[in-house]
Amino acid sequence: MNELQHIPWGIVAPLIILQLILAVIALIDLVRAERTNGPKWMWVPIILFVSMLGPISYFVLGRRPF
Amino acid sequence: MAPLMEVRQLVKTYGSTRAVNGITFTIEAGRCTALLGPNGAGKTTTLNMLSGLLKPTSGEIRFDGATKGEDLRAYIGYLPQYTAYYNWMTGREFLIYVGQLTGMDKRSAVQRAEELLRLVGIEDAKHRRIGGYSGGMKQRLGLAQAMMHRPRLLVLDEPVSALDPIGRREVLELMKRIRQETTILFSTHVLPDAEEVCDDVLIIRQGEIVIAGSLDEIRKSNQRPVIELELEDGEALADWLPALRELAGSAAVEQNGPVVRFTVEDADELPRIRQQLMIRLAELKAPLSRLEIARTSLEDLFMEAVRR
Amino acid sequence: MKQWFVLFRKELLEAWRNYKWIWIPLVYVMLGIMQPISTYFLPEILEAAGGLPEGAIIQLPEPTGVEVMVKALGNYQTLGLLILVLAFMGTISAERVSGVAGMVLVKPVSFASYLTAKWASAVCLTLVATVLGVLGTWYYTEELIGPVSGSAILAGCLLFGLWLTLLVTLTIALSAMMRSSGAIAFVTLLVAAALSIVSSLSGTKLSWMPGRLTNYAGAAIAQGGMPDGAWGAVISTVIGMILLLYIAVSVFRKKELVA
Repeated sequence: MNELQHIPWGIVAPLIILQLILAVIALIDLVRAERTNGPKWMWVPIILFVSMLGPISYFVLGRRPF
Repeated sequence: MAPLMEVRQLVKTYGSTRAVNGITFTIEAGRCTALLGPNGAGKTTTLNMLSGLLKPTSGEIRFDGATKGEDLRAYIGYLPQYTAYYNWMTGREFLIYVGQLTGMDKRSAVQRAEELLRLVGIEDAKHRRIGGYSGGMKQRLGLAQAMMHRPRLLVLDEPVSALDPIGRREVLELMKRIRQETTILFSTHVLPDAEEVCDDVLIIRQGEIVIAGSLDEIRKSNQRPVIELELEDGEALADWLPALRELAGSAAVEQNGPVVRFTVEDADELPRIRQQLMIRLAELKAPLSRLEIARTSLEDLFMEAVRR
Repeated sequence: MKQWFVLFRKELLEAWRNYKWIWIPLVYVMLGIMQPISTYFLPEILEAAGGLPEGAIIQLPEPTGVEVMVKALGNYQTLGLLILVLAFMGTISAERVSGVAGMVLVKPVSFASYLTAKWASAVCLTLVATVLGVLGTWYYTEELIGPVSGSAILAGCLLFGLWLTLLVTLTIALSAMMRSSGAIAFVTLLVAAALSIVSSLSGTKLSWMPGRLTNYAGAAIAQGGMPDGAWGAVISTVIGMILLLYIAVSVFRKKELVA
């Protein structure tokens, strides 16, 4: 618990929030997409757990343009 | 009255192959014309050239009221064989977008879009994304987008061939309604489709037009008598056939199982051939089950034209 | 012109509906602000990682705000550029492959409008992402590291934004001329690398080369204003973009839209 108090949340929180927004938008798009490149379920862990690069790779590689 | 569209010596070559080999035809205003031919005959290539998607290797396309070299796209509404849309748009949005691209202001585009959505019968789906449309709905949206700017000529490439029987029926009925207002040129490889909605046909084969004219005229001028006889025993027919062939003269003889068909080129010859045939059959004591005099149908003509 | 705006509005709407307007600026902000944050926490990170012998003193040079800002631009130069190229490589080629380009261009639509509307939309998005990213980074840098002057940020942002705009222009021009998305991305990144290498090898001789823009952007932040010679590169870049668009439109016009 002591450790957590040392983290300056005022600085780090915005970054975490942006990361969350990015992942949520990628997930929304994934759910709404009819088809993706590669199986749909595969993208869920990638978006959630591969830091910032997960959602980005979904947007540029996973979604089909039309 | 000048024809709506005049096409002269249109040629399209890909390397050494001539996909379209110097075709010439005219489209009269207010009529529906079918471009009829087997797959690979050059139908799509021809229509793509008319709509401006492909550049002709040589030849000329003239449109009534358009100056030479003018962009014809404003006059023509086109439905390609394979439709593609922005799947993220709704049907209504796509039509309005297309309308505005052709120079309509927002209000008249909205009005026209609503009107066409009703006409083609996808009003219920107008606020849904096109990505979720069925094949038949996409085809009907395709008809609507082609008609948005009230083109003087509607060009449809195989509008029904990808549809199931119900969708096909619906689109054909729709075309019958549309043809009341607009000149239509559409391609198909199925004769009944052409017979159902069209006045004129252009039969195309290997990039060349082999028959052109109104359906009625073609039916009349190309009708030839056909003598069809059927024997009880198909096996025996092989023995009789050489003898029957001798009688036929100029008529073409075709055998199909126990049935023999004589297509008589010269109608005046019919009485002679018929009489001799009957005498001969009697002499041979052929086990005849049917003898019939008929006329060639358009289907026969089409098959013959594309096979030759 | 009316038609151009219809096309342009459609592009903006499309980029909004497929979330490009959210995720690209978001990624740019994150890429930028990571730099000051990680610099700020570097001593703690090293400590937490352990491995240093007891009593060892880590002598880290105190980083300046300028240094951090320049490093942040470096993130845009690598990952940021890659993202833009991947996001825009299919702008025209994908529409051609799917056939929807044919559906639109059988309407009386000018090829130049079709292409430039897409270009303008992509450039808008690029610039908004860059500006937001730089502003976010600036804020964090001032808070955590040290001051950087506003005029430095303005000049740096302009020069770097222009560099990204040039490469987005190249991506879209290639997208009009080629069919394979992979090839489009590859060629664009190759050209970007070549431009940077040529201008860094040529010393002061080719100071007007577009490849210099990234160096000028760094220098602008360090000096607090437009560095000498930067305007030459700005002008050559603008001319280069006009030329690229012109070539793309002429090639695209001659292309057959159906196979």
